[in-house]
Amino acid sequence: MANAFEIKNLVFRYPKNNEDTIKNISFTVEEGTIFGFLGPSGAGKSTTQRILSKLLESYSGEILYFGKDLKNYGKEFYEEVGVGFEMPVHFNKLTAMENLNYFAGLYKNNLDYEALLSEVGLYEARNQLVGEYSKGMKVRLNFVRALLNNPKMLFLDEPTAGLDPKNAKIVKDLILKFKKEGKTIFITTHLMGDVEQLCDNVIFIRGGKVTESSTVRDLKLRYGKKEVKIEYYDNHQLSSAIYALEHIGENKEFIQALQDYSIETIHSGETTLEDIFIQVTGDVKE
Amino acid sequence: MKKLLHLVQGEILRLWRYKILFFGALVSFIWVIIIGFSDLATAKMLAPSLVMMDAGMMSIILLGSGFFLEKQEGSMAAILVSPVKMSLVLIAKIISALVVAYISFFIVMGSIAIFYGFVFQPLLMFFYVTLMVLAHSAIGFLLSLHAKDFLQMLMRSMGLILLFVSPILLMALDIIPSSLEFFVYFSPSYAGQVLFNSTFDGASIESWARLLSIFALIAIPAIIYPLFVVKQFEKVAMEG
Repeated sequence: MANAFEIKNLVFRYPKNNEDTIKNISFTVEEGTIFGFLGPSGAGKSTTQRILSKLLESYSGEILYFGKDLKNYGKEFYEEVGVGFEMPVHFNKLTAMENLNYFAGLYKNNLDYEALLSEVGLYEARNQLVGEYSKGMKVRLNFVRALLNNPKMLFLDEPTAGLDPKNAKIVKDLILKFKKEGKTIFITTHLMGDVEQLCDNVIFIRGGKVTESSTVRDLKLRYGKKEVKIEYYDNHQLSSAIYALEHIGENKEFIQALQDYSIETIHSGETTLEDIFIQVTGDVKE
Repeated sequence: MKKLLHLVQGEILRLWRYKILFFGALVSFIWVIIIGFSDLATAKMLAPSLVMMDAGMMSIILLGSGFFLEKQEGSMAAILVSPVKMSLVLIAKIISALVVAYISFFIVMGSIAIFYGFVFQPLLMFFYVTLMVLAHSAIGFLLSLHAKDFLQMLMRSMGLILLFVSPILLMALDIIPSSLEFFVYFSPSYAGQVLFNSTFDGASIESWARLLSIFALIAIPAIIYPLFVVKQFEKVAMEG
């Protein structure tokens, strides 16, 4: 697989600021993967996403998009890129279909967006004014708009924020389906559950610097405790014990406990992404 | 060209949905009532000011209200991440302002033609309306792009409109000395008024005054759009 993005020594400062918002970060986004860009508010996530989606240009460092300098791309860049914003960005006095027809007319290629509306459960409300939509409906419409041009690179900012679990699952399934088609997705989110379910690779950023990067699995293994905790009943009393994961099959105490007691739960010491978030960003997740 | 047409269609649909087109037409119909209750001489005297008001002042207010509505909705961000140059979006907005002005122009001038059988010069007037909209829309964009909110933009527009209209009054009262008359033509309202008056009463307007008015109405957008609007429009759209 090629690299969708190669970011080398990226530095960015807003004109009115005295300090760099992005401080020399480097990372790679592989084609056909879902890349999670994570960090607390003000860490530089949105700024980075805006740079990669060509909304901010006065950066230093190098950004290659499919091997070509991002600065050399013109507006044609957006023919193959979809950008989903966190905040809904539609014309409230137009219906969902009118909005989509308008935006679809700006691209050379279009996806069957009526089918997509149906998949996200908005087909019945397609002729309703967007101003009358609930927040969740607007978020789903936002998602459909980002996919209008059937992009090969998709940027999503908090794609499931404000959605109920059922609709969040629909959106997440569509993201995974999109990935299966070989497309690349760059997600910024606060929802670690989404990251666990969707992302192949993640980067944690804090204060404009990368604090950690790897696959979700690797992070969980590295930051987790290599142990097994069991809870069991001993004389009608709930007790627990922790055993080292290493050579667990040869651990006589552990095997004895399994044989002697009525086991209630067994957990490995694998940590959650929320804990990793707190550890690597040194911050409590919002 | 196809994209521009699509953008213009979108602009006009939104002008309709946001009732900007409706209220624009409503104002024109109020002018029709006024014209209907006047005699030909008064109607001919009023018409240039009414057309100027619609083509000039309405362009500023219309662009401003549309701009701030879109800013509020954040819809500009979605256009920004599409394969469309912002200059094309800007042109579509100017064309939509022209459409509104043409509608108003035809309602006002049509009513004079119907009520009094007055024969006007549609092509020449069409050209003058276009110049006025271009000049005023440039000023409208300049105000909108540098205002915090619609109210501030409206207040500044009102101040500017007063400033633009005052030369008409000052010239009529002979307060401005003839040596300074040249500068007065750079009030787009005054230049527009001169051009429209010339179509009604051509004999009293000298050719140099018409040419100077045309020059001023071309120079204003030719300077403001490339130097002050295009880049700022993109910047404001990016900032959301």
